[in-house]
Amino acid sequence: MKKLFVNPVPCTACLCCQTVCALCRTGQQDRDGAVIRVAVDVFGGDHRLAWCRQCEDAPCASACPAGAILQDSTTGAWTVDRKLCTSCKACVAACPCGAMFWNPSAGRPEKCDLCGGSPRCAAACAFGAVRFLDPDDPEAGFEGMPPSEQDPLLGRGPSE
Amino acid sequence: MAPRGGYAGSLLRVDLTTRRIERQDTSDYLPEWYGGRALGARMAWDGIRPGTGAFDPGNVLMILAGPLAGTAAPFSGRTTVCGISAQGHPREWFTRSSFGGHWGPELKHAGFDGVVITGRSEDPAVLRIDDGRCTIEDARHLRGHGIYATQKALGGASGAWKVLAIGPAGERLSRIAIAATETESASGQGGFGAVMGSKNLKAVAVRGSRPIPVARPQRFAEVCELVRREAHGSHGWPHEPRLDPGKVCRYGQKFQACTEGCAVRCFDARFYTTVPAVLQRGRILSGQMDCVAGLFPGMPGGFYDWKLGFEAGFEIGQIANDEGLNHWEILIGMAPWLRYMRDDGILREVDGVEIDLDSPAFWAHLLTGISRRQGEVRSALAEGIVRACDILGLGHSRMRQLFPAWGYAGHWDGHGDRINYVFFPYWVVSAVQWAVDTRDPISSAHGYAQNIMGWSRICSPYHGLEWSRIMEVSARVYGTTASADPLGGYSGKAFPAWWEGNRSVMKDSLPVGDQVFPRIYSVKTPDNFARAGDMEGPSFERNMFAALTGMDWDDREMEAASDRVIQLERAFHVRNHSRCRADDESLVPYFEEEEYLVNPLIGERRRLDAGSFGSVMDEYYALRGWDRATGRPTRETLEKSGLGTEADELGVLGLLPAHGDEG
Repeated sequence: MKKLFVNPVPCTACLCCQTVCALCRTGQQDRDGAVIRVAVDVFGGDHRLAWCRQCEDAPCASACPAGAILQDSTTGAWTVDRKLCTSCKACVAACPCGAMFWNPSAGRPEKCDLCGGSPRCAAACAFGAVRFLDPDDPEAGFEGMPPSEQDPLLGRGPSE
Repeated sequence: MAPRGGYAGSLLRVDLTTRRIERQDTSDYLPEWYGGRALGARMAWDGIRPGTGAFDPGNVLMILAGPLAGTAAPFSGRTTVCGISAQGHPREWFTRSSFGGHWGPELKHAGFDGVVITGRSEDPAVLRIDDGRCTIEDARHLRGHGIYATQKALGGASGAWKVLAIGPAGERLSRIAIAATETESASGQGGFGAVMGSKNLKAVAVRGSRPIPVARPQRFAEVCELVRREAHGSHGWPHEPRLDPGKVCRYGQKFQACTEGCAVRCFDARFYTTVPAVLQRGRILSGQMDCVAGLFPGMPGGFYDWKLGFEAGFEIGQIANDEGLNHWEILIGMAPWLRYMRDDGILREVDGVEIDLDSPAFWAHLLTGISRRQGEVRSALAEGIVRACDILGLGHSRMRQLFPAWGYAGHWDGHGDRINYVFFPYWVVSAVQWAVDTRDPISSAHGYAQNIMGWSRICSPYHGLEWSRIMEVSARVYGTTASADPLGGYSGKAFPAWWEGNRSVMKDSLPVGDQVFPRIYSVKTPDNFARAGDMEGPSFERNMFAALTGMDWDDREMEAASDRVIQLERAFHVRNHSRCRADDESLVPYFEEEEYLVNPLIGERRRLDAGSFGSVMDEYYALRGWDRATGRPTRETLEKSGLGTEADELGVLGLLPAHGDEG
């Protein structure tokens, strides 16, 4: 199954992936709905991205007491069943990649579902920084930077 | 019809004298004054009375984000600044400037389409806009701080707050002071940093998380993707730039968008992570180096022939940013002028230090002294070269070779600006653009000369188009092949100036990036005319606007809305500054000098022919509906644009043309 692969080196911090994600998931430009996020390092140039790896063992799903995070058999994406979700935030705390985003205005977690198998963020990236690839694809060799645990811009910081 | 998307909904009005903060519905101005510069023109007419100077508390400083800012629209992140300009000459013209980075999108998410500032704070102040709330904070502790330190002190280091700030140059009312954000995004031309300084406004910090509505999300997403995919290389040209492997290894060079939403790699935008400082030994510098800043190191062998080298040039550029000084003025105007002064034997030193453009220490002495107004010469230079000539009583003839008009150094004009490659007859259009503006017009009007030169085989030998094809494609926009004909002389030159003028308003109002729009030429279609899906290139921005806002303007309506802005701006210039045709044509002597390049198809350098140019100007005035004798909008023209009340006011003041002789 294909997944998102992010290489931060060619990323220009244009934020196209993030704004397109927000638009396609929420029908408006609601940043809280974006599930790929770029924290722009204004003075150092060391931009940090957070995105869902669709982990095979899915710590978010394991942590969910309501069993609300399930894997889509067609796309391989782990998705949140909003009817079952109790908004306990256990998934947000469990995600090792900082990619389970808490949406304060909606009061629920936001998670990448690969846009049903055709992720718009990858289509929006003009620089090959965000790509949708089969894990066996040699191009997928670089998974990018380690997750940033305490970055407030990426939804998991102290402000939460 | 009211827009259903794109706007945050409110304008923030702040009077720094009374410390009164008010909210106004953006819809008061919609849809006619559709954002950014368009809004600025309307509010200027309503709010800035004749006689108001740049540094008067009554000057209205407007910082305006357009409807596309903060959305998925590619190339949409810029912010427009309007007001009476400090740099303007011989009058402090009302004008506009713009800056990139992420500030404008953040303002939209904070709930505002613009910030409108009047008055003057008693002490240095900061406006802090936090998700719909605005407070005025004491900034005395930031007095004298550079732009970088100010941003960091206000929460800009983590990126959580986006901060627009001024440096020492703005505080000391240097007319070439910038307001800037991040490490290289500045409202450079106009001297609006000094206008902020005159209001004792050190910075505006914003943070927001509010959603921006979208009228037709599916169509908007589709249009944005089509436009993004159609985008070509840097500047909308056919080829893509590459990094310099040596600078990648040594200095961590990488591509970085200068503005949110920019979806191409740019010739002019690079970030450096590890540049050893030359003057500040032991320090490692990082930051963006964009656009004209690439000249700081110097280009030995050419006109900008100083030899600072990359490391010192980068450091000097960063110093200029931090002090808050206008790169274009320094590099295209001041440095060549100082070299002329030295070589002509007129001025050997600047406040005790010999003029040596190869010396990093000289540059640091020059720039930090200008921003802090130290010494007689640097205090004069802080006024900009045009005024410095009067203050110092020297250098006028050399200044006139470098500065076409209005207080600004040349730009895509074939004469004073020698980094941009343009020859006759293409700079004739630039001359018209310069003539009818109040600043260097090219900041949002690269679409004609830069596009033609960039798409020619001269600038793009492997991917460019033959002249005949460029003429065919451009005729779809300009109406005649003569407009882009390298042997076309003065024929067909008024229309491109008119058309690109309207596009300039769209770019400053929606906004969309000037280096990319309008999209005209393509290597992705058989006939080389830009298209994507059901859209033709020149309609891209209008389609994004329509899907976002639900405003179904067609191309003519969009153009009429943009022309209306130019009519109101012109009416303002007539009312407040007595603008007339004689002003417009005051730049003719500059263009009567020999051009610096040779059109290879002509084989000799050309000068402007004043008679032929006068005919082009006649044509331009006719297209705009302005009186040929005075260059002023007629009553009929203003009424056609829905500006009858404004026409009445000009009539009462005796400023309407007597006969309505339109061309």
